[in-house]
Amino acid sequence: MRFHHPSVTPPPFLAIVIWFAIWLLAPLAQAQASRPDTPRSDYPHDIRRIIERGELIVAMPNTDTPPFFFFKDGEMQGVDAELARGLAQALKVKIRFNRSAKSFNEVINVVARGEADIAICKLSRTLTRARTTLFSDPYLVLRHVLLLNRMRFAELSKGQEPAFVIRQFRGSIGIIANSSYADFARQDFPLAKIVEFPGWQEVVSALKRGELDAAYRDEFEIKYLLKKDPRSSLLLRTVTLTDTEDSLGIAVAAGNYQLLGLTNLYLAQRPQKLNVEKILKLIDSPSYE
Amino acid sequence: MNNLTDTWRKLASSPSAVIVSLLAGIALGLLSPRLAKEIGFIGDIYVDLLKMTILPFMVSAVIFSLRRLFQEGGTSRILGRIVVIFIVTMLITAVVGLLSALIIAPGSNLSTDTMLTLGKLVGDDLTSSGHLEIPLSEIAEPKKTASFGEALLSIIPSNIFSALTHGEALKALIFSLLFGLAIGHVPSKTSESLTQTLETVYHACQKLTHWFNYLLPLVLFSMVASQVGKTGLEPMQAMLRFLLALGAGTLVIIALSLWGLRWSSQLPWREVLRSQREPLTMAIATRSSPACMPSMIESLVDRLHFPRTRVELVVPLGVSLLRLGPVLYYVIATFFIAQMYGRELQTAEIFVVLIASILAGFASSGMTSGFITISLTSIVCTYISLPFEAALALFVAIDPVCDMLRTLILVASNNAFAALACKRSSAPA
Repeated sequence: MRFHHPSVTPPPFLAIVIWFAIWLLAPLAQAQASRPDTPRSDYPHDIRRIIERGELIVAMPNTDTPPFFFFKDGEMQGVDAELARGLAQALKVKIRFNRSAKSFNEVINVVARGEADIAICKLSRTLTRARTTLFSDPYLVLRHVLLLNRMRFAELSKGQEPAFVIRQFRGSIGIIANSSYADFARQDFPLAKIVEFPGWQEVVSALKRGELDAAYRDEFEIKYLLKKDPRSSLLLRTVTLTDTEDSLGIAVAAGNYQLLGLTNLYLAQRPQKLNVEKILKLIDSPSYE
Repeated sequence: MNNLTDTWRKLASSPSAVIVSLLAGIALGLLSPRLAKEIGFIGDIYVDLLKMTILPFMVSAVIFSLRRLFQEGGTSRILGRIVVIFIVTMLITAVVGLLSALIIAPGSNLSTDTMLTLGKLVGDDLTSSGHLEIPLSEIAEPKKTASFGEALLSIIPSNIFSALTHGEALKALIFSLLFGLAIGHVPSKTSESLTQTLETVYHACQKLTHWFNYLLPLVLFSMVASQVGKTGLEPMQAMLRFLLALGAGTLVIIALSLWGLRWSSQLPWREVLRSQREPLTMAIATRSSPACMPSMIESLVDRLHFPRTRVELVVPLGVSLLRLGPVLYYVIATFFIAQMYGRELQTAEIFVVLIASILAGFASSGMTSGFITISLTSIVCTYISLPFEAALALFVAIDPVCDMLRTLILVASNNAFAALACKRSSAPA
């Protein structure tokens, strides 16, 4: 880009000199490239803002959600933290994490208020959220899973076909308050009684104690739960809903279309696409302890 | 020559030969699971050979004996006795299961290690442990449950040849009963030739069984080795208390059966025990009660001197309908699940379990696969709203052993049943 080969064939010795010059200057040029770009007037406003600031602000909630994002060894780690770093690199700026939000929905507010440029934190793309922020293309698609307490479900179904009982679910379903599944549960099971809990731990223990008939979340969290404690399989039963989709995307502040376009291109160009199995394998690797 | 084969046959079913082949099989299964799995085909060949003879044997025995019985008279008396014994023995078995489950409490206070192993077994078995993958949006339709009429319809053979082709023993039995009844009404001059033909078939089948049984110790060895090689001992250890409860119940039923045999035959204990050696060994080796029928009939007729015509009718009837093994299994399995989930059963619920287990026992008639037999536990569980799917994975893992125990009960109790039903009013001298 910066160095053009002469279009006319030069005398041999001149060619050697030029070749040497290029060779010598190459490292310098690279150093130039890694320095923050000087903002150019032809950049759109969203990109110019980030480059002028010299850092990309990424919102994440203050609760760790390994292996997606968690604080360890003095820095943010995980699948989502890696994605955020890659994006900052593409913009040639530094990265800063804003972890002021206490829930997933609050993260959306942080972005909507302009306190962060983007949010990457296992965010589900929901219609409610899409009112205030833009969403990138999905970088991971999960299915919804209804996790049943076997005892309570046996009482609820009274020998009827399980699929029939699930499609007309009239029991209680526990979800995390202000999460995407609060929306999904009401949408997918209009007859059920939805019970909100502050966190996933609370949902699972209430389900195991038999205070709930079911819990609702994505297939990754459910598989992770059963993997962590195999005993749960005796007590709990999973129903994966094959025609549901929980697509995780990157939230981008309203009106930041250039940033959104860049984000989508960045996601599309990643060589390694994510899926549930890959992420479950990550948990087994020692760095995610 | 005949002497030699007789001695070998006696030796093949002697207790020491049985124990040695069992232990050797377990040892091989543990030491070299791969080799053990490879020799499993020997046992399969044996069971298939025996199964080959089941249908012709049963059909000829039932038709033949029913015709004779009709000519001798006394059919209604024996049928009345059969119904009474059916009800009484089923109830006794259910109560034995209840006591065994309450005393041994197989599912209570399981250790953390055991729960972990069980949880892993359930988690690994995604197909039978009830984990579902379904679309949410499909139109929900309640599944129709089979009515009593439909259940009855399913045991009547609309085409006897199709029933025979598909090995549906219960349908074949119903046909034979009706056919035998009809032949009893045909003038004996006309039916004589058919009776002779049937008797030939019957004896030929019995002869075949004799020949196959020369291989009994080898079969036992290969069957046990391949089973141990396939499942390993871990599931067995985790389900040890369940197996203990089932084993204790089995022992009680076998003891009661032997006592019943002794009481109705009026023969010394030694004779009674010796007569049951071969049928019980075959029960362990084949895990198929119909395959043991020829040996059961022989033990009752030749060794305990019960009238042949009656025994030949009552044994196939009992093996098909008097399902004490599954009944005991259903009671203990249901209690195991209730105890595992910490559910206290009320008195009324306990009664429901006992009655539902007996009904499920009837429903297991003619079920040839162990998987279907154990999955009928869900009938009982549904009545008292217990979840069955998780436990199914556990029961499947240990079923080779349970199947063996169920078959032992079926063989022992049906011998006793036949003896009680065929007992002459005056005891033989």
